[in-house]
Amino acid sequence: MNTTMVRMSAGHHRHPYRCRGIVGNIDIDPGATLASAAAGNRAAWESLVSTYAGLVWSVARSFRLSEADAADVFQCTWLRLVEHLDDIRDGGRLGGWLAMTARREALMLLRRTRSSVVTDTIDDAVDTLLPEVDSRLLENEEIDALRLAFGGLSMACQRLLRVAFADPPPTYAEISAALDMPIGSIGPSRARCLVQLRGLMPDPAND
Amino acid sequence: MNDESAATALTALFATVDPVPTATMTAAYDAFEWRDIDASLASLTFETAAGVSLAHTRGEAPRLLTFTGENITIDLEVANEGGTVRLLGQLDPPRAADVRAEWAGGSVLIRSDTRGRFQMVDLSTGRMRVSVQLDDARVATEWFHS
Repeated sequence: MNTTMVRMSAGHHRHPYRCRGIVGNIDIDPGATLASAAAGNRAAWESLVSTYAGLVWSVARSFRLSEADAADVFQCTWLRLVEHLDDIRDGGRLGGWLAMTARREALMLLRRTRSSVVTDTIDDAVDTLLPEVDSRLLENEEIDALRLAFGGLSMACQRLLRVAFADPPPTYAEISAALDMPIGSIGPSRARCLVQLRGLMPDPAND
Repeated sequence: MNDESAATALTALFATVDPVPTATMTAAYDAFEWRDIDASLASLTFETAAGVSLAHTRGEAPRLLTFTGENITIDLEVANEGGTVRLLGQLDPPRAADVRAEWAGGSVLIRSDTRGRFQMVDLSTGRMRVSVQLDDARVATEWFHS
């Protein structure tokens, strides 16, 4: 039995719960791939990175880090995995371990770079986790409308949705590790954030 | 827009406007080359807060890091001085040994004295690790930031 499986509350029967290694929303067998990487197989390592890159990057970005700082956190997380390749036996725990490690590295970076005289003047209401993108580069008007709406969400919602809808979508255990949220609160919080998001979308785009 | 289409749309949004940069992915693939299969890991077990210097006139206050490994403890005082790093180290139990500091751009190899002490100056800032050659084993600290 996959030890990361969590009992879903009744209200989420419509949203498919993704459980690593069982529903198979990722292509690899994490345990076997981990073992192969630990044995020195670089191709196995690369497939680990490819598989969990979306999750790790989403965690780094959820801290409102610049691209350079997020890249530093990203790299540190993978270096940590290299250091611990022999220690992680349960492939099912790898995603959660990576999420937790990325979170820890982000917090350490913030401690390192924060000056003593910072006054946090970031206005939550106007900040967005998403980088500025030339709208003309976005082919899809719906995606652009979504981007604008996303930027109108509370920062807490942006962080939750940014991680929850990384590619491929993480498990509840991984989201919990990334955001230090109790697993049971993820579903309800995500639902509330999606309601907020819909409210910010222009009407004709709603189905 | 129901939950499922929102999920698909958000995943597509993030992949489109905020993908992992290619160079960042490449660096992560290459992280594998830093694997030191012959060395056991000395984990960071103690660290003084990296505070802003109150009394120092030059640079920040040095940080004290303790790494605990198999049969050895490595204490490091890490000081950022004018854009380069000075490391003062202490091995416990004290002994003379080959000590290497490694970072992305290079490495430095020196020998600790019989009391286990060593110093390295003008090191690059950023991510680094220190490894020690014991009799028939090597111990490497986890990566840390100077």
